[in-house]
Amino acid sequence: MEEDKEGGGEATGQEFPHTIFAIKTALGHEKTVAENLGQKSKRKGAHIFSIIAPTKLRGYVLIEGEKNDKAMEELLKGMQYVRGLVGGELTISIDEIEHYLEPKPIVADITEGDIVEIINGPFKGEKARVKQIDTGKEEITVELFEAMVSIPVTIKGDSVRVLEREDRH
Amino acid sequence: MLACKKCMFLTDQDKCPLCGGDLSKEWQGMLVILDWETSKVAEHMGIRANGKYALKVR
Repeated sequence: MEEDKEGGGEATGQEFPHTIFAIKTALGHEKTVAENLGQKSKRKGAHIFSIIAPTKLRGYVLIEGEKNDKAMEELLKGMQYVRGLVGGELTISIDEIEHYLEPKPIVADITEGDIVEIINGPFKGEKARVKQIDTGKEEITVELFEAMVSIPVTIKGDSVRVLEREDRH
Repeated sequence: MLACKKCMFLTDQDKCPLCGGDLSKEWQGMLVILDWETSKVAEHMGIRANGKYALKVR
């Protein structure tokens, strides 16, 4: 039996659809997988056109290319941090991943007066009220609830999760 | 690796080799373009060169 050792490089005569599909990766290693897969794909001449590692899609990397499951599994074999191809008939259209490609400004959903929880950094777990928003720098200034003295702290907009929205009427 | 603030190209150099733009170390997400002429994602993003790109640059 002949095996496809080149991971999709050679012409099989069969045509595969140009689509987007997903592979599962170890958490936190999405970018490493995208880089390594890009290099391997070039080396092997696989029919992959782009690889996307969106920040908000943890544990997955999206691949745009010809969906040939057998060749893809061969290509992914032995790759560090790769947990496998998301199989089946699941293919994704570009419209469905548009929001990963053009993320809206991080602070777009935050309003002055909102109550937020800080999710990373030295104040992780603290609750605070939003006092000021700098859309350009994507930073917000908050006042911590637990602090003895009210000192404004400026942090990155993606370091918080909104708990309660300010009443906007 | 640093990202160009203008075209989001990822590089280890001092200036963006694609557009000469300033670089930032604060970037998120990654897009690897292997065949910009065929890629619909590259077309959607207006990318006309293969390479690694950030999805968001601060």
